[in-house]
Amino acid sequence: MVEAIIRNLFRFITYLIVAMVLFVLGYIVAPGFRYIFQQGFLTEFPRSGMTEGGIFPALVGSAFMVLLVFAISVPLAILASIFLSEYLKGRLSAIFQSICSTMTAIPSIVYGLFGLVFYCVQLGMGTSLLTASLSLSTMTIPFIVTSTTEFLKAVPVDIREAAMSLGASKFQVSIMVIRGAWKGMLTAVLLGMGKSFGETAPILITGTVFYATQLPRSIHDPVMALPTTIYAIVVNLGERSQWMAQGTASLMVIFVVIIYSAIQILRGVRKG
Amino acid sequence: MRKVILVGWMMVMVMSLSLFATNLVVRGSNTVYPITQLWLEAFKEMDPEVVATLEGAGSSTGIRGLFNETTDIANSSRFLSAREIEDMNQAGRYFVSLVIAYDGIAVVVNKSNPIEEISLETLKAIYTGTINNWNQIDPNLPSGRIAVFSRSTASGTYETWSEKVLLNERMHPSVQVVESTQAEVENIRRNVNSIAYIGLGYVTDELKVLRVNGISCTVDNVLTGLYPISRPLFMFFDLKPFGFKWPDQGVVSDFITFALSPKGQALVAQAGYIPAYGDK
Amino acid sequence: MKRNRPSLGADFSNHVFRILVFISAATVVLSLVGIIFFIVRESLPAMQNLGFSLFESDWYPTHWDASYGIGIMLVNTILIAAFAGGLVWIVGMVIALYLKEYARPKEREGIIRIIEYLTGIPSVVFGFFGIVIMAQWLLNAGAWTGLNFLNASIMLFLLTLPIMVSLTYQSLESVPVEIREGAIAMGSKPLGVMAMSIRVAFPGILNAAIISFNRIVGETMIVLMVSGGSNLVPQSFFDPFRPLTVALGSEMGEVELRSLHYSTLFLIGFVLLVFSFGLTQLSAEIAKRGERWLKR
Repeated sequence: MVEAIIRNLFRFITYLIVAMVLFVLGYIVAPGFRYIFQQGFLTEFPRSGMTEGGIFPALVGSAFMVLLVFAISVPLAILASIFLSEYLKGRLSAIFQSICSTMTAIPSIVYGLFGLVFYCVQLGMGTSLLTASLSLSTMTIPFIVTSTTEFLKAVPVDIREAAMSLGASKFQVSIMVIRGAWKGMLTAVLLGMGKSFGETAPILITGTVFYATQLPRSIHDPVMALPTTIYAIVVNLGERSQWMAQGTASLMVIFVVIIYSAIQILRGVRKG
Repeated sequence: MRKVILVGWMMVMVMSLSLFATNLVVRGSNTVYPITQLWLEAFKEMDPEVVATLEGAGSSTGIRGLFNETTDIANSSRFLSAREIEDMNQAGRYFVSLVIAYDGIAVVVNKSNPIEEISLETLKAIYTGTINNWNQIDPNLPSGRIAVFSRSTASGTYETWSEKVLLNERMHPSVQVVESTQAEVENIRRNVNSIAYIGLGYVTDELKVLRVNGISCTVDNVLTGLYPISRPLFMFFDLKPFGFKWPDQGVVSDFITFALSPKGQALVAQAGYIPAYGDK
Repeated sequence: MKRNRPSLGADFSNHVFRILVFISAATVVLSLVGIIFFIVRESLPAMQNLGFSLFESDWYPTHWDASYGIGIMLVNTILIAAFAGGLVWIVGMVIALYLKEYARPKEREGIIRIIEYLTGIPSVVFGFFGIVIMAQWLLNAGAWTGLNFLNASIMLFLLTLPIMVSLTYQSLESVPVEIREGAIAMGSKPLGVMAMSIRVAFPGILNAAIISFNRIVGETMIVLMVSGGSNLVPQSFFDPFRPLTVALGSEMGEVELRSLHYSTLFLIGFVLLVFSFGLTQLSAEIAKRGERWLKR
C-alpha cells in the first residue's frame, strides 16, 4: 500500500518536473524558431539599434571561438590524458587525476578572471578572440582529460601487453589505445565543445564586444558571440530588440540539441 | 608536430600585434549605447570597410578603458570625477570631453500608480531607505512596499543620480541594483510598487513619468536647465596618441565629426535623446 | 620473454612523443598553479589592507567613503546554494529513483534521453527566461518585486536538475545486482530494496549533490540577470538579493587595474576558488569513505 503511494508520488513528481522544464524551454525556444528562419537572421548584421537584421557576426564569432578552442584544447587534452593513462602509475596518477577533477569544479567566472590577468594583462594580448578562446581552453582541457582518461583506461590491459611484447613503442601502443577508445574520446570532446559554446561569464570579461561592424580579421580582434549577444540585448536594449535575443536563444538550444544528438548516436554505435 | 605549428602560429600572431589594424573601439555608457549603435551603423554605410566595435557596461568602464588604453572613445553619461582628472594629469594624458547630447533622468513609476509628482528630498529619502512605503509619501496613496530600482555603480546614470539626488550619501542596500535599464523598464511596467530612474531616451508610453519638484521631464525643460536632474552625455577620447593636437584625420576624427554633424545629431533624436547641436 | 628492440626511427618518434605528452600534461598542471598564483596575487592587496573588515556587511566600493564588506554577499551565496541545491538534491533523487525502480524500460529511456539533452542548455538561456517571463509570473502571483530569491532559485534549480538526476541515476545503476538480489532473497519488501540501493549508492548521490551545490555557488549569468541586486539577506522568497558572483560579473568592467576595488573582486574570486576546492576535497573524502563502507 505504502509502496503504491510512493510509486505514484514519485511518478507524479517526475512527470511534473520534466514537464516544467520542457515547458520553460518551449516558452523561450518555440517563439524564437520563426525568427531563425526569417530572412537574413543568420546572414545579416544587426541594424537600427539591433531591432532589425540578424546575428551573423555573433554566429561567426562563436564559430571561430569553438574552432579555436577545439584547436587548442583537443591536442593538448588528448596528449595529456595519454600521459595520464599510459605513463603515470599509482600515486602520481591519482594526484594528476585529482588535479584535473579539481579544475573541472572551478567556476567559469574564475577562469575569466585568470584569463583577464594572465592572457590579457600579463601576456599583453588585450581583449580578443584569442584571449577569450585561451580562457575557454584552460577551462575545457581538464574537463576533456577527466572524461577521456576513463575511456582510455577502459581499454583492456592485454592489448597493451601484447603490443609491447611484439616490440611496439609507447607511441604505437598509445595510438592503438586511442583507436580502441575513440568513441568515448569523441564524446568527451563533443561535450567539452558544447560546454564552451554555451559559456558566457569568462568570455564576457576577456574578449567579446556587444556590437562590431566587421567580422574579426585576425585572432586579435574582439568578437561578438551568441551568448553575450543574448545578454547584451536583454541588458542594453529595448522592447523592439528582444526578438533578436529570443531568436539567438532558440538558435543556441538547437545547436546544443545537435551536439547532444551526435553524442547519443555515438553512444548507440558503441552499444551496437 | 601539431604543437610546433601551433606555437609558431601563435608567435606570428603575437608579433603581428604591432601591425594592429586601425580599429575604432568604443566603450562605456549604457545610456549612450543606443546612440552609438545608430552612429556606427550609419558610419558603416558611409565606409563599409570600417572596423569598429562597441561595448556598453557603464560609463566607468569606458573611462577605465581610456586609462588602460583599451578603448579609443569612452561613452559617458557623466563627467570625469575629480579623482579621474587627477589620475589623468598624473599619467600625462588629456581626455577631451565632447558633449554629444543632453539627457534628462526621468523618474518613472507604474501607470496605475496614482502619484503624479515627487520632490528631490522624497526621492533621496526613498533611495536612502528612510521611506519604504508608498503611503509614507502621501497618505492618499495605497499602502505598498516600494520596490526601488537603480543601475549599478558602473553606470554614469547612477553616478549622476548619486550626486544630484542622493547628495553623495550611500544608497540603501535594499535598493535593487540591476544591470540594465531594460530590466528596470520591465519591472516598472509590471510592478505597481516600483520606482526607478532612467534616461529620457528609454521612456515609453507604458511608463508614467513623474514631475520632479513640479517640473516635467521634457526636452525644453532639460535644455533650459529647469528640470533638476539632467545631464549632458559625453564622449571622451585621449589626445595623447595624437600628439596633443586635435586629430585631423583617422577613424577617430571621422567618427567624432560624424557624431557631431547634423546627420549624427538627427540620430541622437531618433534614439530618443536631446541633440546637443541641432538636428536640421 | 625477449623483447625486440624498436628500430632507431621508432626510438626517435617515441622520444618526441614522450616529450609532447609530458609537456601537455605539464600545461594542465601549470594552469592550475597559474590560476591559484594569479588569483592570490591580485587579491593580496585587499587581504592586506582590509583584513577582517572584508567580512562586514557594507559593500560600497565606489563611494567616496568606501567600504568593502563581502559578508552579506557571502551569506547570500550560501543561502541560494543551500536552498536551490537542497531542492535539486531531493527532487533529483526522487526522479532518479523513479527511473531506476519504477519506470518501464521505454519510459526510462525516453526520460533519460530528454534529461541528457537538458544538461547542455546554457545558463544564459535560463537567465533570459527568468528576467523576461518568470519575473512577470512572480509579480502576478503577488510578489512585490519580480527579480528575487525565488526567481533565482527556480532558474538555478532548472539548470542543475538534469546533472543531478543524471549522476544520481548512474550511482544507482552501479549498485551491484547481487546486493539487490540478496536483499530480495532475504525477504525485503520493494521499499526495503530501494532503501538498500540508496544506502549503497549514497556516496555517489552525495557526490552528485556536492557537484550541484558547487555549480550553483559558481553560477554567474543567471543570478546576474534575475537575483534582484539588493545587498541584503532576503527575509522572504520574494526579496531580492545579491550573491558573490554578481559583484564579479557586474563590477569587473569598471575597476581600475590594481585598485583596491579590483583587488577585492579578485578576493571574491579567491573565495569562490576556496569553496570549489573545499567541495572537491569533500567529495574525494566521501569517495574514499564510500569505498570502505561498501567493503563492509
